Amino acid sequence: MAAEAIGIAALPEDVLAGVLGVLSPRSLAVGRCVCKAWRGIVDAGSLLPHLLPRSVYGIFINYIDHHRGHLFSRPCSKFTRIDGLLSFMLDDPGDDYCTVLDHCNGLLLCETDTGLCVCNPAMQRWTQLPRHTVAWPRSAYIAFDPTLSSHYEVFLIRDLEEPKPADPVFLNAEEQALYATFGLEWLFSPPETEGASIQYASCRLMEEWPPLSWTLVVFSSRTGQWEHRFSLSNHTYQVIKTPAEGDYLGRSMNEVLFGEARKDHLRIWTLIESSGQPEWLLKYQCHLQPHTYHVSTKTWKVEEGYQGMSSDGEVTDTLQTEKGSFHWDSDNDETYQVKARQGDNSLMFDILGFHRYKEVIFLAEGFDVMAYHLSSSKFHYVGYARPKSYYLAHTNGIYEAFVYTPCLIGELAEGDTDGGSSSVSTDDDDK
Amino acid sequence: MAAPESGDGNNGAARMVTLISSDNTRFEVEAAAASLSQTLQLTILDGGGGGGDGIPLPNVDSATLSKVLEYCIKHAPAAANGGAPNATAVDRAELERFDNEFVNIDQSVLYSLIMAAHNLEIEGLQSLVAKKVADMIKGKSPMEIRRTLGFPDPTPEEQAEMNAHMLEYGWAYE
Repeated sequence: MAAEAIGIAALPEDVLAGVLGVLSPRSLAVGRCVCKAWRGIVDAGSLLPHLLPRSVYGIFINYIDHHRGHLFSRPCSKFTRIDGLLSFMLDDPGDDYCTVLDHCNGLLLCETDTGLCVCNPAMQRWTQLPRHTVAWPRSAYIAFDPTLSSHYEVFLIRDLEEPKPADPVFLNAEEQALYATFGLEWLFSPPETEGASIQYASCRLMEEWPPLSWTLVVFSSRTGQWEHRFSLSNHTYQVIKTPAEGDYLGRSMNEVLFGEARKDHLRIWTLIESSGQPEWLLKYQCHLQPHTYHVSTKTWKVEEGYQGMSSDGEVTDTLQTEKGSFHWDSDNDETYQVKARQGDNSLMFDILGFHRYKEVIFLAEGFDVMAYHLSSSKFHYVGYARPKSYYLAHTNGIYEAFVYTPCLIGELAEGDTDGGSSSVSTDDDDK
Repeated sequence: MAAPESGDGNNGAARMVTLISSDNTRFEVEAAAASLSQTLQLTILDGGGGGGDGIPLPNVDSATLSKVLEYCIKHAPAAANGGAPNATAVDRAELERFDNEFVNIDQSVLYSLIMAAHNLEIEGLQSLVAKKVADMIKGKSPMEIRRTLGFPDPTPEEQAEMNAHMLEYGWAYE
């Protein structure tokens, strides 16, 4: 090597790969953005082999009066395919009851015939949670942040009385993600002035709000046990009123968003904190009028195992082996056909979720799922999300959806699962 | 080259070899130290590098080579003990202190060392310098990394690309 000074850019690729190889995943993810060459090295060397959530693989959808949730995803080769049927966990993936209760950074919280399970579909790992004593109606949420810890926590939160027959949900599906980001203090920090700033936060109103005492029942994978957690030592908490009722609270990129779709009118707010006081800022609004939409030759499909269950239980029907996948969000616009939309103007959109890493919102009109690009106002037709196994009824519909970002971290962290002496352990689960 | 202390000649523990840098400077060093380099080890086992011959290293300049040899000489005794299972805590602490001091150098020297460690296949030195660079990267934003490592300022296109990619791993910045 000549005597003159060299910069890091002058290092050959394999040498640089050796250097970058010692970086932590977090630094690698940052390093990947430094320049094209580094990105090439990180990607080519699989230094950051998609271990951590970074892309949207599909959407887990629960249907009204249907025994199980389904993964709605782009067709891909069987080598990169994720078992959305959860057949690694369910004895009979076609018939078993299994509802997805929540999703957080690649981990699913499911309710099955045997109780609550946490699973990582990408790694085909799962674990059954011990039984808990909670007898009241509750909703369950999972919080998991692989960049901080391999441990997760499952929260049971009491459903309060609600006048409507609809399923009462106190914390919206993704609200627990706020825990992971901001900590409990954020949701439950003392109000600035007593009383005045306590306003109702949740999307769906309940009568006894705010509750006088607050207990979270929490399962931590660190201890392997359920425990009661009194999060409100001073019995005060800050409540953030949503800008509108109903609809969807979620995260996209680094923002907390709230979306509302009223017929064809879409409004999106972002949560900002100025002088310690959280506020919703209307970020986007428009009338959704998909006069034209972009359609790819490969649309997303609902993964089902029915017809394809061969005698040895192997799923054969839904395997798609085409090379390449349908990247509706890529730059390859030429692969799309632009189709004019036919017919009626009475469009009713529901929000399925926010794309975690792009300015895109997933919308459903009936079972037709679209990706709407906020910046370009373009619609991409994603696919038809009605499962074949879903019997026809007038109540048919999508009940709930979770935008799934796979996480390829190996083991599900578990505590002493055979410890047995859960602090809260008898029965209540009769589902 | 005569071995000064042991009268053992070429097969003794203190056998010396000569390395010749790209700018023709000759370095005389114990074979054990030079053998930390996987590349040199075979040549030395074959009896090369002794006497007036010397082993030419056309990829390493004299400044870098002297730095490399400083590392090798310091680490050779521990390496000879098979990773030093019976090294005392004091010895290990001393090596660690040496290592920390050793990589406290200008970036250009560091990169030359990386290249030399790579070409000579000196495992310990490779990971030492890699770790040093990693420490320089750790906890910084892409822009700060660029500045720290002396990249030119990004063009607007590069900047836009950086921003786009940062979104992809948004969690890394939270």
